[in-house]
Amino acid sequence: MPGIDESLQRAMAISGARGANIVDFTSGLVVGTVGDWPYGGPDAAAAGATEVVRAARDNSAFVGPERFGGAADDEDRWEDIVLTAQGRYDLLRFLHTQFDGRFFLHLWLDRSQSNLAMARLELRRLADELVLQ
Amino acid sequence: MNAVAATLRELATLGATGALHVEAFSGAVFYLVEGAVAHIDAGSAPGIGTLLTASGRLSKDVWESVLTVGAPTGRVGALLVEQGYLSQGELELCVNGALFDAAYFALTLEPTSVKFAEGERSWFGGTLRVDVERLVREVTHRQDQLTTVFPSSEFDAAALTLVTRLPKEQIVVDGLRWELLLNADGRRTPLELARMLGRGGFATLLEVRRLAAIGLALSPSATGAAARPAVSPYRPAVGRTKPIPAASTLSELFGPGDRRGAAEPVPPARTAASAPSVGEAEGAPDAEPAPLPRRVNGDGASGKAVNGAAVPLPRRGDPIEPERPAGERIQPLPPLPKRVPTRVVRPSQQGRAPQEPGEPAPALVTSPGPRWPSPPPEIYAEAPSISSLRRFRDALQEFS
Repeated sequence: MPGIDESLQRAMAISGARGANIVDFTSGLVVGTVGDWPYGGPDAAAAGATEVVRAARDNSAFVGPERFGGAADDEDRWEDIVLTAQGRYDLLRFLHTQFDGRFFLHLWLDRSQSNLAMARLELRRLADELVLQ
Repeated sequence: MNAVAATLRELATLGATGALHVEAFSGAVFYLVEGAVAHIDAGSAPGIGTLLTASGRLSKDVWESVLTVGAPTGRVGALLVEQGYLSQGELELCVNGALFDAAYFALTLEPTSVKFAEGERSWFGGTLRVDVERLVREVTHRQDQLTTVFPSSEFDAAALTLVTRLPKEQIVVDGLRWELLLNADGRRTPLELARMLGRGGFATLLEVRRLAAIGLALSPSATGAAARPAVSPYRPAVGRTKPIPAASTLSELFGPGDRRGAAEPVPPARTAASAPSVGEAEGAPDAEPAPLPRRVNGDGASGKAVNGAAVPLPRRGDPIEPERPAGERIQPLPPLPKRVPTRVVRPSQQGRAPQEPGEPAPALVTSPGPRWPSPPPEIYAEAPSISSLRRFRDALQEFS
């Protein structure tokens, strides 16, 4: 079974992947990081992504990623946040742990070399294996 | 930052391996491996066991049996994965969350004394290695975060009371907030709630401050509930059974937070603000009549002045053999002659002696949480005395 480091390595094997982070969004702490992070390094990326997550979480138009226990079959449970730009994709994949933890996997990809749908699916499989869903 | 951080930095520079025992009102132990922090036990933060069992991820029986088998050899983490209870990823995430959470509370302690036991390894095992600088940086960051959300720390150590009317049209309620809203009863402090719910201590503090920022939490100065200690104020009464240094070391490792059952209600009499809080001892009214005799008065003032070794009545942090010179390894003590080892638990019994007389019935809500690990068998002989003392104490509370 993969640990954090191995999961990050596997995330980097997704085609077009440039950098992967696992972030504890309680405080924006980088739990593990690999690859290239332009604009201030992995810490800045984690802090920024955490703010995005927090803003979405505190917005009543959406529901929280851990909404009331976050049952695996809950249709409202968050899976990912996707941000697209002309040159890149940013994928934030939530890791639902049964114990108290607020983690997401942040993967950014070079848009010209990647397929968003495939990357999302691979990231999902990877996240599920990491926390055994 | 403070004395603890300074000592940790020094040890990191030396590349030391061992355990740094920080004695304070709610003590902590840092386990270092070659200068990096591998594990932290902090009395006030929910430990790994609390996180895993209170959330229902592991049953208490599983946790205790893994603890019994793995703790003496420091392989609890490895066993959880080997026996298929957790995936490697879950273990690493959980340990990571718990370590930084404990660090937040351990690094902000005002220690009465700090001791380093060279070579001592953690009972959990080294799943992680965290650089000391990174730890200190993250704790500072978390402090800033709390201040940003709500500048006052008045809610941190006081019993959480909610206003009766929502001050806004609507609020977003997620898992943690829901649990806090449901369980805030004007008696439990945020950290007590965190331990009860198996939620991260820092995450709970942050959420409480968010509630405060919305105006949902009633100011402690308004409710008259001044800061209460984040750990059970009865501890000194239990600790008074000194000298049992070895057993006390274990109770140090697993503060009341870890040992108390997740569902344990707060005894009614504990609502009074009657003992110093973790960081703000001065805020506690000393005149409050204490339910049990204990050393309260003057603690706030003398906390730093008294040396652990000179104090006759131990507080939360005292149990680590104060006489032991720094650097000496902790030796298991020979069995005490007077005690009947009724509760010797052996790995062969999967951590559960059948029908232990000292064990509280499962129905009792006062049943202690996960048993403390890493004891040589003779130390288990002390367990009935502590648990029975606690039950005795609770009974006294009940009727006082």
